[in-house]
Amino acid sequence: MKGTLLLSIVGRGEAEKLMSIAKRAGSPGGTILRGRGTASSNLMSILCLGDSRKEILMTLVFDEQYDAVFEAIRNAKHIHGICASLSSKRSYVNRTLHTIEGVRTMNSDWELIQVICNSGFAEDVMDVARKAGAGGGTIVDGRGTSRPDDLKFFGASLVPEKELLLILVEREKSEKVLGAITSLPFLQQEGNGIAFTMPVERFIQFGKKGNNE
Amino acid sequence: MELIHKLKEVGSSVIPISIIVTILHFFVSPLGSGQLASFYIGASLVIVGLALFLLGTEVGLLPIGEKIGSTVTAKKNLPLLLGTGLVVGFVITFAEPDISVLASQVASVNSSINETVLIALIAIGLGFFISIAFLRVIFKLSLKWMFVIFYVMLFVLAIFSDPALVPVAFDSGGATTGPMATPFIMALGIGVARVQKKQEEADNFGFLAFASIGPILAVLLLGISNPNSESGSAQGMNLLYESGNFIPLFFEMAQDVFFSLLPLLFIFALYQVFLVRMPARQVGRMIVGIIYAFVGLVLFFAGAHGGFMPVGFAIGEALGMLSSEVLILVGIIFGAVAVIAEPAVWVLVEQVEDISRGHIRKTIMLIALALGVGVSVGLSMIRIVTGISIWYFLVPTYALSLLLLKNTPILFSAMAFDSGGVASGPMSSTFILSFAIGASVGQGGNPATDAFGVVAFVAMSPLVTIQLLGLLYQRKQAKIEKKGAKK
Repeated sequence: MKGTLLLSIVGRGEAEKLMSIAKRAGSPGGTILRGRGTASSNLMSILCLGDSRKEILMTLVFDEQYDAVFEAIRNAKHIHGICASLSSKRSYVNRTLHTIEGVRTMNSDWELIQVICNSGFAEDVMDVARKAGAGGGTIVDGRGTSRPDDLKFFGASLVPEKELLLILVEREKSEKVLGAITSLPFLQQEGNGIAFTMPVERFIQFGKKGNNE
Repeated sequence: MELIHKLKEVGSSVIPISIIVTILHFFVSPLGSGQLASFYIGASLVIVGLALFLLGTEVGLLPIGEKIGSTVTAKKNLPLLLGTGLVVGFVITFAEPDISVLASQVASVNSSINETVLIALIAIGLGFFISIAFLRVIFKLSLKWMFVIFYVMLFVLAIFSDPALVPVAFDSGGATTGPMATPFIMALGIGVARVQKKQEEADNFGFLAFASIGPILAVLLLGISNPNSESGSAQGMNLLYESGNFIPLFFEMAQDVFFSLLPLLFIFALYQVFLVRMPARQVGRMIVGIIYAFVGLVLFFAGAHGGFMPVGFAIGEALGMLSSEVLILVGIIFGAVAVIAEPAVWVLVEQVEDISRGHIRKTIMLIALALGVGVSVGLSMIRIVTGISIWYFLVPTYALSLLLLKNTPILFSAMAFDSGGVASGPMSSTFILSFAIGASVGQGGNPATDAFGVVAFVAMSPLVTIQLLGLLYQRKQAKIEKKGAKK
């Protein structure tokens, strides 16, 4: 049995709504994160007027419910944002390991670029990504997990602050955007960040007419 | 867009106060026509100013504080950490215009006290307690026990201190945490908490609570060393501004806000050059944010001083002459609606929503604060009407809030003690204070002595209501978990 991760990035207060829609269609549940949407143009970004609060909904659905849930999400009304489905090769739910059997070949024209970098740098990464053709991104605050030899300060372990930047781009632009990101000087040093891409199976832009993949 | 969202939110928090003033104008206490017009102009300035200020703190002040807090902790250098606490305390004291007002008030009550000594003591007290707040998170000391110890200590000192200074001392706790300092201090705490491996939500709070203890302690100690008091001679009540006159007010406020911002900028520059070293892009964002916060606060203060203060005074005076019951009732309503227009309150509730990842909603926090401050202002009206000693209010409320510590979830206790100082911001020191002065004049009382303590009243009630909210949350949470277990 194969699971698929549906990653939706929507406006403030909309993740719960979307979750209840997905639940009605058979999804078992999900996790909501809070993020910050970056500005979509350089001017707005310099004026700091383009920021917006975003919510990120992650729900894992199995093949049986996948089509119903995806249709329900696609037809959701009054939701602003995007939804990308990412295939998961193995998933571990309720103490059973579900392993993939056949690989679904369907792929959309979109890719998800994820950058994890030291806190404070995500805006810079987004800047070069935008110049290389990306539309906008979403920043989530996080912290690195500490290693055993990590910093100790009077018995309290300290961990580094991290930012996770999610950018969805068309596949043809993905190489260029990733190239621009990796050429950033501060990402040349070890330990400052990582970046990777994932193929997106299906993609929805809420509110956009047609909603084709 | 974020700014429009904030405008809507803030607008809905200022509109209730405008409606009530309008109703009072038509049915109970008519205002001059110019006064009402400038009240409306003031209200719109407050809305726009507050929204800009919030946007600015979000992109500017908060990230700076967080960065400094986390970097200083990650350096693993105890002297640096304690030094930062002291420096921040000092700088904030000199940044806050309310403190010099407070110092002159104290000097007017007790002439043997030197203003400069007082300000220096407040600065040391504040810095010392911010260092303690750092230490608490690093050494994982119990926040609850620290609150109990420090507050009991405050009350013991208050017994021996100059009685005329006690209300002033408790006012000073609220005065130090103004709208610029609040986000900065809060962010410091969040920064320190963020780099801890063992993450506890409660670690994010408590810095402001300690920041309010320091100044109270400093004033009380001064009162012990200088016991001779000549109470009643207080003047220095040049708190009242005329209606309208927004243009000169803009310049005056711009100057005030600029001088309170300058020291913060100085700390920021110092840490940026020597320790934090953020990328240029991030620094740019912070500068833009600070500019927004600056413009926002200037608009807010101009609106509050030119529109809200004269109206507060006029309504207070009219109601004070009319009837005590109506005065108390309107006091409750004004308290409730004024606190939700307080800039620092919005910063706090947004941080609470963020840190609890949306679990503790803004609206619920705002309602709890409004209820608490409503009761507080109602009580201070009772005090104006009857003239009972402030002790009968302060002791039971603080005793209750310390008792509540026993069962309240730690996160809510930390938030409660933080919101005390936050609730008493520029809105209560303009609108509520001038309402109280007006009421006292109308009742024929002594405004100088009655007005002291209003800010302390506003600062004490959130300690109780937010903790009660925590108890409610805990019960609800237990129910949900039980349901989940049954399934």
